[in-house]
Amino acid sequence: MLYKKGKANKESGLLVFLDRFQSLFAKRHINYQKLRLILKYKLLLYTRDTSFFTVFMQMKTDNVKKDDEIPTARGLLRSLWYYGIYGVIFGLLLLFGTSFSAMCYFFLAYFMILFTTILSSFSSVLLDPRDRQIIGIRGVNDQTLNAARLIHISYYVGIIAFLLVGPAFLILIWRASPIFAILFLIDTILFTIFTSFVALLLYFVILHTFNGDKLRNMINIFQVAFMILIYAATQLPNLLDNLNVSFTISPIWHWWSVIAFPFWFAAPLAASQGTWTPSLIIFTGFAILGLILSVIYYLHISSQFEVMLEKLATHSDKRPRVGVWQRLMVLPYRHNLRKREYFNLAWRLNQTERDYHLRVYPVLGLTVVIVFVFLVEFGIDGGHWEALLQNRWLTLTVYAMAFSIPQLIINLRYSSTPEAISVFKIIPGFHAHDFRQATVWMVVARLLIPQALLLAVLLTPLLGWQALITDINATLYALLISQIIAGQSMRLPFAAVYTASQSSSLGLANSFITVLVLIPGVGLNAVALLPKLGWGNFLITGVWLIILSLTLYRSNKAATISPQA
Amino acid sequence: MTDVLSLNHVAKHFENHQVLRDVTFAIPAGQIVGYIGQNGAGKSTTLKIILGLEQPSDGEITILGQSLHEHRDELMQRIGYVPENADIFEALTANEYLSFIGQLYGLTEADARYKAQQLLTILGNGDSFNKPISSFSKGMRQSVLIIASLLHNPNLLFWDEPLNGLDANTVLIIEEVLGKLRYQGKTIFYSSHILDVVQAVSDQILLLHDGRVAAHGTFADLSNSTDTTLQQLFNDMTGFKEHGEKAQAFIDVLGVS
Repeated sequence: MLYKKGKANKESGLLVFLDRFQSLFAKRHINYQKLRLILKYKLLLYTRDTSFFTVFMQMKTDNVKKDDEIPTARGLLRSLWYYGIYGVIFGLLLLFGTSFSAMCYFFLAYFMILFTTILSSFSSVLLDPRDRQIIGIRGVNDQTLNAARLIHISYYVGIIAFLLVGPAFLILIWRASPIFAILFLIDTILFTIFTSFVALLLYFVILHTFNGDKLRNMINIFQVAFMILIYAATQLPNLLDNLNVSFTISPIWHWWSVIAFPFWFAAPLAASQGTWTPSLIIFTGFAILGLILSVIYYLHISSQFEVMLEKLATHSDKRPRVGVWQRLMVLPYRHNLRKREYFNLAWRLNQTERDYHLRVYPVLGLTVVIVFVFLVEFGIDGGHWEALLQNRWLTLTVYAMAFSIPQLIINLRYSSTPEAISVFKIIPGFHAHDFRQATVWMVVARLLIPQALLLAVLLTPLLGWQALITDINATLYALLISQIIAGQSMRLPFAAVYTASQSSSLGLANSFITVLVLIPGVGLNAVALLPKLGWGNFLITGVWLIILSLTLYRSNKAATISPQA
Repeated sequence: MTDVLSLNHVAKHFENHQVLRDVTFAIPAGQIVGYIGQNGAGKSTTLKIILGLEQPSDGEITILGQSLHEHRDELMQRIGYVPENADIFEALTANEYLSFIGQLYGLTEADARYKAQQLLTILGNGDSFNKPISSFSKGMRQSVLIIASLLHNPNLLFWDEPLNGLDANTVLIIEEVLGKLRYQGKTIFYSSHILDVVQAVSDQILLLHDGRVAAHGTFADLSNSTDTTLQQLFNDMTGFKEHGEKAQAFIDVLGVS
């Protein structure tokens, strides 16, 4: 598809709006003509960059396109709809009232979404090291470049803020009063500015302290945290319905309120409906002071921001450390040099695959949340936690950990640098089966076993020692499922380009297989938990071990016949 | 002859690591300077300092008679740069990218677009003018970078491995272009590891070694005999003489008899 004349020339409303403030820019040594030009092309560039809204894009879109196809803004707009949906949910929350407590929850949820979005998804706009290399060397000063970046980011933050706050504003006009709704809008705008500058300052601190690799890792962590947060938030109604816990926040200043930013901004709205108590005055004072200080401090350091971006191009030259856990997990291969090397190679590769982390870690987080949703859903009767201990079958919820296995295994196929491992396809003596097996064991050791350990730590005090045994059983069974799925769908690990369509169809098919295999497993373990069977749970451990050993034996035998398979 | 570029006692250190030490040289107009050195000799850092991407720890830089420190933005408008690593906005088409760059240099959008299309067509890639750069081959990207460095008719050019990925015919064109630009009085800093090309096109050689200027002058001045090549000169200056032994060791490890 060729470029359509006129599309790039269409003036953005943002640029027309900015034209009115040209003189203001000149006062801050910003070259307006160049600023306008940079913004024009940056807006065009990022509506085409499919990695822009990284979090949602990773979940929903297919990155593979025809070579000469120009990406469109459709993917970007589609990803924005998610924010619109959250906006409607936030707005509906305010139907229940406009108390201090309700406002605190609104601002807290809004802060979480906005802050993590800026940190995770806007990093490509904010931290584009190409800017200085391409634009900065062509007579554009750092102030102009930084202002363009700030306006660009404000534009996207503005759109997201509009989608998140707009429905709440409309509901408040109807539910409270137009004046209160306008106050709410002003307060939200100020809070948005505050949140944006806090995020920018956090970037600055990270850039100041760490190198490029560390920063990319931290952004990756924020992206994963953001997705887990979203998943967990969607499960909150299931959890809260069953728990008799008071969630009212009283408008009283505590020492920890110093870091409770959202509460600061909820205070003036609460005060506008009643009286200005000393606590509400302190909250409001912090909001005003925090806003002013964050803006002033950012403007003070903004010129250093550009120079710091150079750090993004730097890579750590430290050799990755082989940790205790890795040494421990490679022990099953201590007599097999080849598999040991394959395991260590797969471990190192997996460490550097940030896209894998982004696709898989949230699913791991989700499965932990699901275990607790099942627990609360089936186990807590009217908020009575004591009921849990009497119901040993609830330990079976730990089998939910297996839901993450399809994602864990299927995504091992993909890599951001598939060419690197493809070289093994032509190396004589390379044992694809051994590499596959070592890679599957690597991901089990790196992710599944730690997840099982976490669940054991969380569930054993809650459900008793039976939970520990069931946790071991579920882990063994998960290992069995991982072998089945790897046998079904795994080619040479790390050797393919990620495609969402292929990944999701494989994911769907393997999720179905997972459920099919889980049903008899959970059923049998449930029978073993009958009180009259006593030590039945241990028996299951033995049975799963035997089945797993047989599966591995058969798989190895098949590989001996055809090592290149 | 007026100096187009001069560096006086320029030094640069990062924390405890000294990258450049007392780098001093002056380049007159209308010269092609072969800018060479081993990896890690300080070439890229020197270029970054001249382009204002890094601040020197010490020393002064004058470009076209003006202090870089005081007139950076104006001076950058008179410099063209081809980076070694293709930093480029890949989601844009060549048309959009080159129009953008041209406008940053003060050209009108129409002029930038017209000029860019003409130049890309001459280099044999006119059909790809409206295709995204992400679909371009390495050589086509390099053509875009070279054009981006020339659109605004600069006085001083810094070309870092400019022939990377170009096909043999385009290499011939670019080498001819280099000569003609010099004839017009432009100064070109030509950096490459392919030393026979550097020797063929350069009026002067500037060799950086271990963060210092190890040699600067015409090739004739620097070489002590007529049959010396720049490669031999480079090996002598950098103290590297064991390439034969290393090649044999390499073959031995491979097990080739």
